[in-house]
Amino acid sequence: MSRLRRLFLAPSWIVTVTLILAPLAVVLAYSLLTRGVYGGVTLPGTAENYARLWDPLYLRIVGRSFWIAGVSTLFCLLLGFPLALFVARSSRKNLYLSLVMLPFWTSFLVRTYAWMFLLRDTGLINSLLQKTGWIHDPLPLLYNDGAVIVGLVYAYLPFMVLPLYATLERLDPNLVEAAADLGARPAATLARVIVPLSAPGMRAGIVLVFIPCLGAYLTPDLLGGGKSVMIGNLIQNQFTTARDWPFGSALSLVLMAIVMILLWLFTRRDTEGLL
Amino acid sequence: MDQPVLDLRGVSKQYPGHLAVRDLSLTLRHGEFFSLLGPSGCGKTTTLRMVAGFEQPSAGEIYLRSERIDQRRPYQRNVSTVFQNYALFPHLTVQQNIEFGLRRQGVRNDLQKRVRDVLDLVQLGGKEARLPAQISGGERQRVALARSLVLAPDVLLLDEPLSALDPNLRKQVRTELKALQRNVGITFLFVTHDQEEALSLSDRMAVLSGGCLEQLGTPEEIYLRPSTRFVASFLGSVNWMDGVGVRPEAVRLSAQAPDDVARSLTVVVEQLQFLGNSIHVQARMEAGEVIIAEISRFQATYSPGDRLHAWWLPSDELRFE
Repeated sequence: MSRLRRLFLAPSWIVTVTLILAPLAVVLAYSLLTRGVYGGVTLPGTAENYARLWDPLYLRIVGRSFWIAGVSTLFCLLLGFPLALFVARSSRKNLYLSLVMLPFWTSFLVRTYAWMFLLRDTGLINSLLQKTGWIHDPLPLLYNDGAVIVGLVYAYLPFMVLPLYATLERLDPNLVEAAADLGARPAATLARVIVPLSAPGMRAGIVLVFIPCLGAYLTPDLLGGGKSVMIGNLIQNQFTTARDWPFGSALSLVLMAIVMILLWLFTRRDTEGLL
Repeated sequence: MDQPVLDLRGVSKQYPGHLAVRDLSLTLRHGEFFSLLGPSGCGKTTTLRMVAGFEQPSAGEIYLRSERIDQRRPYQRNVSTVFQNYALFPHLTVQQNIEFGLRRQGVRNDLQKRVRDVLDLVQLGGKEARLPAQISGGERQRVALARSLVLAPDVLLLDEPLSALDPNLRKQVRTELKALQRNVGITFLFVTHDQEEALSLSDRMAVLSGGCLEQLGTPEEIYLRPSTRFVASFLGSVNWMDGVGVRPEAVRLSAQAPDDVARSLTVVVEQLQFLGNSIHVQARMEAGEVIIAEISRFQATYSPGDRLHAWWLPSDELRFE
């Protein structure tokens, strides 16, 4: 490697080492130590923190996290696909794309609170339904898994729409015409041409939505009301109320490992399926 | 007389601020090879797309075997299109591409046989399991043809299907395409901007310009008796002299003055252009205008500065009112 090349690569190496590798090493070290009485860590070293993960209590939380992230991703796909198709075929793509991005202009926290105002017992939805006489008692919309899924779908829908839009926009319109020309009704064209050819965008969207959903903690905390605990909340608790930094570190690393294995499985399939 | 297979009656297509096709009427007879020829933007592709059902005419009617089809969806018309870029489904194999239309029609029993037969017809046996990206451009073109032909359409629509091929292959495929059309007996509606393609392939052809029909006829009629100056120029080079046109291959050169039946001019040779199979002699008339004569290289003993007689037969003159 030439000296010049090393010189130009230096800044990115410094960033990678100081902001990613070094903190990871600290987390790894913490995960192998014993918890301190008031937080922090002390000797001796132990693998106990990883063994505790097999406690059914924690396994259930991991399972719940997968379930909630999976359902949220599925809804993102079901809602995002028609939206992306509509935007890709519209003559006002830029307008609709900026509308998809618009929520990013305000804080995620504020938007999550807005959902609380919509969903709570005295919230907009319940009071409207009560005033119009559809229901008598307020529906339990907030502080359950449904509320968490609604919040996650809302938060990550753009991450599904954008990669789907990118593949659908590149789709040769002649292929859709050719399908119709060969006798395919719109449903058959969708199922046999448009959906299979947008698979790369779907895979990218699934990765971009599922991974942050799996690690979400703010949405389950606010909309799940502590009843709907996910891995993210468990980790957060270890560093705050539970004061068990080593266990929190172990959980973080396991979550990271799961995500990396999933990514590896997905990208492996992607390169195989490539034409 | 036979009922026409395809009948366009006063078809127009209006786009915002642009009339793409103007009051076009055409009839295609059963089993003929019919070409729409014209420069880009003349409305030929728009016409094809209205027959296929990808565009709706703004006015006029289209009949296929005496049934009105211009309001039907593309999948409700028994016509099929070979696209300029072929539009093969990249995720499906050659076999699956060809099966696509048959499966949509619900064909089950003789599906395998029909696919095999059409693969033999276009000589693609052995390539069934390949993806479009794994075969050559010429093979892709044949898959596109096979995918449409297997459905036995009333009219096969071809949108410049040879333009994506390299020039050497193009002439070979042209011959094969004509033979194939004779063989299957399906009516072809062929869109092209290449006059040589249209002349060599067509039974009849229509020349379009600016959305209007300029002339309709056999290739011989159109080449030898063009009805407008546009058609004359579009189909080949013309020497224009006082409103009369003479094609370069009709201009003959000789040292002696010809018989008095011929039109004759004295010219001075300026330069010779070697074209391989012929030679273009550029000569200047006394009036100062340039005339081009296309001659065989076996008689090219002229050199710049030679004073010659250029002449042609009155029957070779192109005249317009």
